[in-house]
Amino acid sequence: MIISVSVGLLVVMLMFTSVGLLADPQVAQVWDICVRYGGWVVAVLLGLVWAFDDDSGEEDRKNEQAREQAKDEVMLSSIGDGVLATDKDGVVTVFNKTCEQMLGWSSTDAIGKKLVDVVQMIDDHGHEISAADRPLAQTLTQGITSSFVQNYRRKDGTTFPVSITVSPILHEGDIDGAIAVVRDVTKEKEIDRAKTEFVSLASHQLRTPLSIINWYTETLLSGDHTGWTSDQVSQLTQVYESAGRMAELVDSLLNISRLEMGTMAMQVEEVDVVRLVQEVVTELDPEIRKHHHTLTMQVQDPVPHVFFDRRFIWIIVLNLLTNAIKYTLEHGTITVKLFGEDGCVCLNVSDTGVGIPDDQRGMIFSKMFRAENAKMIDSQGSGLGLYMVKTIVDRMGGTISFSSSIGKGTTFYVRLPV
Amino acid sequence: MNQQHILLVEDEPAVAKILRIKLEEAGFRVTVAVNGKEGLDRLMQGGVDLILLDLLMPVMNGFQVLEVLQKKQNSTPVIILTNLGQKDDIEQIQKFGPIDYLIKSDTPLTKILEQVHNKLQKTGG
Repeated sequence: MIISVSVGLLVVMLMFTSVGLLADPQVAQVWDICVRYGGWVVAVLLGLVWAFDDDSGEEDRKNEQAREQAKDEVMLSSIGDGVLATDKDGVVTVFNKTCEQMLGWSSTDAIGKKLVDVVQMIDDHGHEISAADRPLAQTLTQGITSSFVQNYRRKDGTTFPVSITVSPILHEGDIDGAIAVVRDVTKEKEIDRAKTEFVSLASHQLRTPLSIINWYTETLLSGDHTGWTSDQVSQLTQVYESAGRMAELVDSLLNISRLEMGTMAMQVEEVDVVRLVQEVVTELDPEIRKHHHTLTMQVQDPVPHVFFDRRFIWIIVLNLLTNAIKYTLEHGTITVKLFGEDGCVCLNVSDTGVGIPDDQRGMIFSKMFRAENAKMIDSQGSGLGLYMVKTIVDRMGGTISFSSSIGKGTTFYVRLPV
Repeated sequence: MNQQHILLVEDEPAVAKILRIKLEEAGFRVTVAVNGKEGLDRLMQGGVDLILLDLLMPVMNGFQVLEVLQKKQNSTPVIILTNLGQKDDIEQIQKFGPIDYLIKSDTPLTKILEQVHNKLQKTGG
């Protein structure tokens, strides 16, 4: 309406001019007043129009923002997983409905406070993890994204396992905060516990008859063989040795079934790989001595720690070293190198063994595969060791490769991300 | 010299039989208990120099026996003899401290006897 009035005034002024009414002195006087003050009126009116438009524009923008915010809040509250965000000081800025339901804290309890003060993180032994050791601290200081399983303590004091992914919020390259997606994995942990117990029980049940076979054949073999033929003794020896192989096979198959069970079978922890390798070397010392090998460890400090299931890193190291010992003829040299590079822990295991034939290299990580020359040295291997190593390394997001020369030896190169 | 007394807590009859034969051949006196409860009852009667303890048993398992021994601060030397060989199981055992354990299917009888002798020598049993 204001626009219409302004335009109307302008039109009248033009009409006055066009029909020559200004020749009349009285009209001219009126015209003079109109021009002098009318211009101001039009200007004011136009100003009001602009301001109103601006105001109504500002209001539209505010309404639009409110609509967007409401949409975001609806989305956040509809997400099945917990979503929380903090600023760069770790103060909670977002705490969605699922977080409220999971943790028992309301968003008003949490927002504005440091996350570490509101929600405690507890390890599997029931100890509180300090703020500095929580992944949030690493994300806020180093900008790294990490995924892990830990336990949160609810407002009522009970704890429950959660799977968390924490990522940095970046603004023009600077860390502005962190955002975490949190999922209650109580059910998955229960299933994992049941599977682990099954594996334990299966291992036990399979090993029990094996131990009986072992001990009774051992007793017969060590006893009086008067009246036995040498064939009978030899056959009984075969039974004894096969029972030993079966025990190793049982362990390998059960480890593989755990690996193939899925991520929730993992118990992630910080692992000092150097120390782990030293422990494996100690365990294999009798075998090393039996073959009269020399084993050297070369460690280039600092070697970072990795975050993974210690049991599976043990399997990697044990299998690589066992193969190096087994497939190197007596008085051989085995070298273990450990160093950190490009965000990875690097483990190289070299031997002066029989090497891997060219035409069989593509199969070396396959399940149940054994190279022909390996079978000649040890006819009883399961063909599962390197398959397990590769499966674990792949699960860790690492890489494994090797170089080999027939009659000279093999080096395996393992890179595990930190 | 008195015979040293081994308490063998083991529910599998074939395992218990061969272990008893071998331990008696080596000069030990052996009592067999078929579960943890029976084992503890016998232990409380006194005169046991070493316990060979299985883990998975009915009525009361080896872990429960270890808990009772810990609570009562019983210092009778123990060697675990088990087929629970997964690392988790071993970690469970180690919760009770540095206890010797042998995986049955991986350990020849001669080695078991050697460990029994060593343990008794160390603890002056």
